Amino acid sequence: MTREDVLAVVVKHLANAVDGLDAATVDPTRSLKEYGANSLDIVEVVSGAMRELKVKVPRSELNKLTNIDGLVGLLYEAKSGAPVGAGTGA
Amino acid sequence: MWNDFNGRAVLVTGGTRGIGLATGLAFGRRGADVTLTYKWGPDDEQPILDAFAAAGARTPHLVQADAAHDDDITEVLRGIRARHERLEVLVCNAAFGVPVSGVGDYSRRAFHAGLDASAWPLVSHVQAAQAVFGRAPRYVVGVSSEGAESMHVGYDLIGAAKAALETLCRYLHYRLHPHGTNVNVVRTRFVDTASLAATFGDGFADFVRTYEPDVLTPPDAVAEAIVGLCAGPMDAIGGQVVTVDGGAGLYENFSRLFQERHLHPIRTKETA
Repeated sequence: MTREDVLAVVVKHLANAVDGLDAATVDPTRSLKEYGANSLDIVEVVSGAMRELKVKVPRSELNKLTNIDGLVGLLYEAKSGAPVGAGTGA
Repeated sequence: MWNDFNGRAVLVTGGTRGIGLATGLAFGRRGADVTLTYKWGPDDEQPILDAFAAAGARTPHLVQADAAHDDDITEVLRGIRARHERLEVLVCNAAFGVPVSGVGDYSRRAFHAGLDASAWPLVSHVQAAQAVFGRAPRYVVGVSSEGAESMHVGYDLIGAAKAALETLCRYLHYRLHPHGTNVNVVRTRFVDTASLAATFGDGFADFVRTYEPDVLTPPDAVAEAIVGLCAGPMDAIGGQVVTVDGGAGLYENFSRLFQERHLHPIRTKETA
């Protein structure tokens, strides 16, 4: 599975959670909140992606995330075992 | 007649921290074979394993399972079934809810999310146990909170889910008691855990301690009460909501604060 595959999973769950969101317009350098995700949406996006990818990520790592790219990196690392580091959300 | 938990299967959902972990340890100290579930997972499982070892308990089974997903809990129960013929104790501690800041935050989706994770598992987990083991657990204990009956800021929908949990407890006990199962709920108040901070803010526990340290209930105290409900001598207690707060809910009121006003400078809304 590639990092792009993981991004597609996250974007899919984000589009499911946020009404009216066009998945094709999602910029991974932005945060979930910037796309209108509230706290419940964020939980559902993250847990849904983890479930689909069959990975688990500690809560403390999730709390550090600031953008979608960071989440993708964390999930990809968990899936592949390849350390890529979480995005910092500049 | 005191029950012997040695070698008996105990399942605690949301069991890797706070009340859940304390409960797992309490049963583990008494020899139980404990399974702890988690949704997000601890950063490092080793401290949990070390705590059980230090307590002289069997190594616990840590399993990722979302309490709101039936497939997950069935899988957990099948794992227990591979080792035991019966689930002795089910503690439904896992919970989830969305804090709200106003009526505008209310949503059917948020309401259902709270029910799915915090109330319905009391039923779904019992049903799953019946399917896997052929019978319900000997003891079922849910973990509720005072927010089911009293107002706490932001707790609107979470409190509603807890109220549903407590009502389900009564009916579930009525249905299952003739078949040898006891169902009860422990209702906590302020327990100093990560969940308390997540719900009410990082400084909340320190704020409470400032006014009355005894108001905070240690997780271990809640855990021992849960064990007590499953220990045998309290088998005549069923379908009940048992408040575990050291009595703090009885005396936290304005009459006491007035008597102790010399200890706590009070500013009115006008002078603040």
